[in-house]
Amino acid sequence: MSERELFDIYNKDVYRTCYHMLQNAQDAEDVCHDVFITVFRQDWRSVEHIRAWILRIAMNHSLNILRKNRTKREKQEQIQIQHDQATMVIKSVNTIVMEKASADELQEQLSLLPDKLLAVVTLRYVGDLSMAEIAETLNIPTGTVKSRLHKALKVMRKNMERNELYLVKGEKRFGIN
Amino acid sequence: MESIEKKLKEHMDDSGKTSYPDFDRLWDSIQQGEMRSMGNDSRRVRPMRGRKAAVIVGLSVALLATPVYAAIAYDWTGILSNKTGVQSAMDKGLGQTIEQSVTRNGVTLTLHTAFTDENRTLLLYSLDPGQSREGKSISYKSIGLRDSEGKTIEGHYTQQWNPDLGVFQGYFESDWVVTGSTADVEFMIEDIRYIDDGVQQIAFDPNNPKTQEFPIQKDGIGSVTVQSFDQSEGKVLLKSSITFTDHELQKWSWIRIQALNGNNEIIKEVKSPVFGTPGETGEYNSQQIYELIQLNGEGNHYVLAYDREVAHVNGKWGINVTLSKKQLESGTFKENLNIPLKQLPGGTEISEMIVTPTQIRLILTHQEKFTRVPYQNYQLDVDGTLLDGGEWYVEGNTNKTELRFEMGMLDVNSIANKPIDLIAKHRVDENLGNKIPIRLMNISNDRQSMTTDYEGYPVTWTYYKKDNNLYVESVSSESEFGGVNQTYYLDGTKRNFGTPAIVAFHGDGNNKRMDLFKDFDRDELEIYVWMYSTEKPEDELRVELTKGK
Repeated sequence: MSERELFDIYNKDVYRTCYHMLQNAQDAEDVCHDVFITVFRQDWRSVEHIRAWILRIAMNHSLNILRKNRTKREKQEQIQIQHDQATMVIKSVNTIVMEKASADELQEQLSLLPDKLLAVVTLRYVGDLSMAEIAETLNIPTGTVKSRLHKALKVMRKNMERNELYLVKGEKRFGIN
Repeated sequence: MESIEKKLKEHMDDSGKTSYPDFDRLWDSIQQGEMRSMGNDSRRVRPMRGRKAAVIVGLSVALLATPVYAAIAYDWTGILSNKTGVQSAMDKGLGQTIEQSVTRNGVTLTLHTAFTDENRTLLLYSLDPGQSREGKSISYKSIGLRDSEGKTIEGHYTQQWNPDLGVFQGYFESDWVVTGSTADVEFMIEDIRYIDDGVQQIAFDPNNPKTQEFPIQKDGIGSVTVQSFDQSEGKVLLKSSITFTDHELQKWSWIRIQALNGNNEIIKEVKSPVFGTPGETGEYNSQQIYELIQLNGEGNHYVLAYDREVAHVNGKWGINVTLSKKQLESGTFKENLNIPLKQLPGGTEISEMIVTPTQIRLILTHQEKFTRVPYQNYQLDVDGTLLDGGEWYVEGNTNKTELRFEMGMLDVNSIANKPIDLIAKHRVDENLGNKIPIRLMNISNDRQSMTTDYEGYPVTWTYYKKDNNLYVESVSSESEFGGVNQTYYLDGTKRNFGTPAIVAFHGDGNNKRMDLFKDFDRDELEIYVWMYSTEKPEDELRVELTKGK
């Protein structure tokens, strides 16, 4: 297999992994670029489970960026929360019901997950990796992978249910817990 | 739990809905093999160990400048991402190590490495602002070199904040070269300005076709006027013009109209905007093209965003140094080629190839002065490795054009033995317009359109009056038609040219143009085309420069 063929096979998987981790198309593209450079600089032809290996590199690059950007991100999140408070008040009940479980909401819920949980979710649902592969990729026990995945889904479901609770309270009672 | 898992799986695995980047372009840049920088946050700090030691040559120390004993080496890959030849020369230890610092008013300037060859001088510097830092970026009243006679050597600089080290890292580059083998110079900066974003709300209405003026009278800005022009396919062009009360601000500030949606998110332009073209009376003009439907969203609002000074530290920081060409002379060679290029106008030939550790340069000579080389993109194929390059004008010589290619990771010592081809892509030719007039009848405030055949291309002319000025737009459905550069009308034998009201670039895939005729009071006009361009995006010229050994 040539480098170009390898790139063509895995570029979408790598991009989606980075995109879901970083929530930003430009950053995802930059990391995707660096991932393939890292891959090509190594002896990739002798790697056995190449897909899992490449996704591991993608995940590590993404986590590094998240770590470096944490302070910046936290600031952005604070602004986002203030902004959400402001907009939720104006949104009509109907609009919110319509948006329930929409792609946007899922994306928003994903962005609220801590990095650790987001990494597990991304590798599971974008990378379609097994529990064992995720464990190897993130260098954590399989049991921890399972519990993090379970926790991630629980947190997301709870948040979405809480949003629903707000709906029935009426427009005047919106706020953030 | 199952249901959310299912939804999540569908959402994250939905490759059909994900909008992917242009993977071909990504592949091209991967082939260049350069690690990218992620914003300002990924400056990688590499340990000194493992890097080739550079030789210190000819160093004279200024009174204040002190040697730097750095425990870490700075990583310059981000800042040098478009100077791959310099990066590669540095990795090979071919830079001239300086590592001298000077501190004044709590701010430390360090000159790290210099690259001097027969064509350019590039210096890597860092600036530690200490406690004084405010805002998000800095600029200087002046930055540059001064020769032994006190004459200023101009150039340009680029810098980035490195949050890991708490310094601004940058390079200063100049066309100035050392005559002889060494030269004594001083690298200096004067008066540091800390910059942050300034924002003023403006009550702009994108649906109002009239000129809208907003007085600002703050932070050195006088006023802003905005005009909107309907474009084809539901797009709208915003032309803005800014006047200043502080003319110094105009030189360094980036000022733009920002459209924000109800969520305070920036609405992006659908085409690359053009900022800061100078107007007739020194105003600062910009053009931004949006989708009208996006501008009409609920809760949209507009602001004037600009860079403003939030603090400054005055003073001069200077480091004396003896620059030497010695390091980069290794591997440098020139080869006479004299290859005629019959496909090009103006009696053009490739006369010479100059190879240095950082660059390969081709010198094109033209029999006719001001000959334009009609290609948009240039590459060198060095035995299978592609180097991207660009066109440079040779100052003071109108019979020459230079093509410059950054060396990338190629080793200069291997170049002489390798086959090298020049590849030129995307041909754009400029042609003189014909003498057949285009008749504009019943000119009024209403937009009127007609399509004519111009030199075999269908060109649609749209004309109307607005604020007593006549606007003449031209556009063609034929993508090979590159656009009309300017139109004129005749007063007797005198040509009266319209002022181009859209800034256009060759090869940008947009052949729409707009000319403005000021204070126009007639209802009929015959206009002529001054020049027009034709495009062949697929055209590729390949020329063998050397066969290799």
